[in-house]
Amino acid sequence: MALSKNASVLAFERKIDVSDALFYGGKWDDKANYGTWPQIELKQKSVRGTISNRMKAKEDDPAKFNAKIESANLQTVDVAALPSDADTLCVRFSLKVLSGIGTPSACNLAEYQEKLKATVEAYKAEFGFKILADRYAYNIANGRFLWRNRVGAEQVEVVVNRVSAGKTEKSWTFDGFEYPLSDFSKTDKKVSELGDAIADGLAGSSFVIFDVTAFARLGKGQEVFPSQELILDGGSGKGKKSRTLYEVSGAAGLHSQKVGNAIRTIDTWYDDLAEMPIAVEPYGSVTSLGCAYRQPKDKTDFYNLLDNWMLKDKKPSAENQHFVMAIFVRGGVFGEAEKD
Amino acid sequence: MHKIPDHLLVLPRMRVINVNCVSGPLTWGFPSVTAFCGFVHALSRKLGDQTVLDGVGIISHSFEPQAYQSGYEKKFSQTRNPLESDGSTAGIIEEGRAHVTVSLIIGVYGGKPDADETATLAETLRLAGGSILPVSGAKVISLDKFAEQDGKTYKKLARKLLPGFTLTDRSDLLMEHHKNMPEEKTLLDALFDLSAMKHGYIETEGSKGEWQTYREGSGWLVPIPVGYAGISPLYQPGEVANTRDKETPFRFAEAIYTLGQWKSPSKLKGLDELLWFYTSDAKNGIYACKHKKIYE
Repeated sequence: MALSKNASVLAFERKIDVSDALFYGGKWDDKANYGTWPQIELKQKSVRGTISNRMKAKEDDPAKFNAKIESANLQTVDVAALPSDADTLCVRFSLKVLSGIGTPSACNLAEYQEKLKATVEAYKAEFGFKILADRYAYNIANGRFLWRNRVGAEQVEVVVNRVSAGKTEKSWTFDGFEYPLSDFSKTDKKVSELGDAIADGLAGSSFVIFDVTAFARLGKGQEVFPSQELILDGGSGKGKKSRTLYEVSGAAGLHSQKVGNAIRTIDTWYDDLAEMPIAVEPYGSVTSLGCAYRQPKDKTDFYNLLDNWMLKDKKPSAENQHFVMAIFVRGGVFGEAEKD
Repeated sequence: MHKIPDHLLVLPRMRVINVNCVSGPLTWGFPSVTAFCGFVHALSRKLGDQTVLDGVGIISHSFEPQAYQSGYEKKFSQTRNPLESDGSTAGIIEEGRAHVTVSLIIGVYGGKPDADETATLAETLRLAGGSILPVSGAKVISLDKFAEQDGKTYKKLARKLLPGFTLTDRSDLLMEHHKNMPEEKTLLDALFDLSAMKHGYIETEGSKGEWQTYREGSGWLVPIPVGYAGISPLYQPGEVANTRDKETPFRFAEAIYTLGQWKSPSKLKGLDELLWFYTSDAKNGIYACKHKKIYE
């Protein structure tokens, strides 16, 4: 049965729910005792920098120009670094896998909700959630969530503990650099096992929580990179801090959103010639590149795919079906404003 | 008169991240009581028919707003949302978020639930829009009603909740304060008067007096949103466009404020100062969370 219209209220909760990732510092050889490592604190520093930004075209009066570039560029910023005797960054977060993909948290059209449920059930029967789950598992194993801290690390190790009522049930250890970031072609038993656990959680056969601990060997006293805060109108003006980093109870950390984005960087289906996975987003947008890979004009964005599937009974390709399901895992508000 | 719960479910020191801390139109701060009552109601529905959860005690152990001070003002840090389809930056939707650590004491009526299973169910829910990190140490206490009347069970429990602060309803104090104010003043004036930080010249007997910063009333008093007041008639399901679903009656509403007080858990006399319950008066359109008398 084809539906005549979209729900005006349609929202999904995220199904892979991560916590903030907090930073600790210690020695690589002492990884076993990471529980006792001190947290990494933010420090504020003021530096006398140089003016190096590109000048505007109208500032071509040489006298003015010289005066400008000769003056110092004073700035106050937050920094975080390993202690001088520690060479390893430890990043810890927890990850919950929730069931109920395709069950909206809010939907004001009962027929739509039923159809959605049937559609997800059909997908589940055909593919299961293993394809998605393996990719999420891969992104945990390779330490992609370390972001810039992974770049330039000598070694990366990721330890994943599946916990239940506070006790560790099963543990996996991955060498992060064994799994390249560019594709998902490398598979092995450990990633597959972790994928099975995530698939179980998504399918609802069991409730799954992981404690993830990653170690990156960076070198003694090296700078580490927590998330930066977005503060509106906060950094302008003389003497104000121009970079504020994120901390939780005194520990530097990555925002949960940033960790989540890394884990759902599984979309290689946006183009036949896709060079790298991108994060699952309705328009396939990648903030650091300033572009969106799933354009509405190409009909490859989430809304076109979903509407074709739900309203016109046009099933997307298998790859795009995976993508739509991954959007349900991501969550969001997707209702369509009713036209008057 | 409300019944004494058969058991108490204790979810100790739950860490909840990214909770909404702008829960009313006038204030920001700790999430609204309605968020906690809603959480308990949602959990109760997940537990099935044998057990009903009703009434929640809220104890805060830590509250970390995601806000940054630059100069005089504090500002909430925002999130940058995914780009638009043309690659341009999406608009920033301002919101206020906080990380909190709370203990919840939940009244259980009917069958005794398994503590760990219930905690696991709780972890799958959201609380005030935030995510609950893994909970450990949940337990269910069976209440011996006779011991409860002299507050023994509660006293024992309260010791485990320290250090922390319990959110309690002090509408009684608000009413009393209003009575002592000039006649033309409204209850809202009384609420502002009790919440405001004042700066004034206080004359003391015998000496010159001095400028002082002070507050009315004693204790940690805060204005808190506790529910909703209808400002429209109650519409039939589906009558208003774009509501959340088509099965529930609908009414436009605005927030109800009252005076709350943060108290040490050990200072409470018993459960009727601790547990918040839903109350509703559909005829007058008042939907508010309150304490109820639960002892005979």
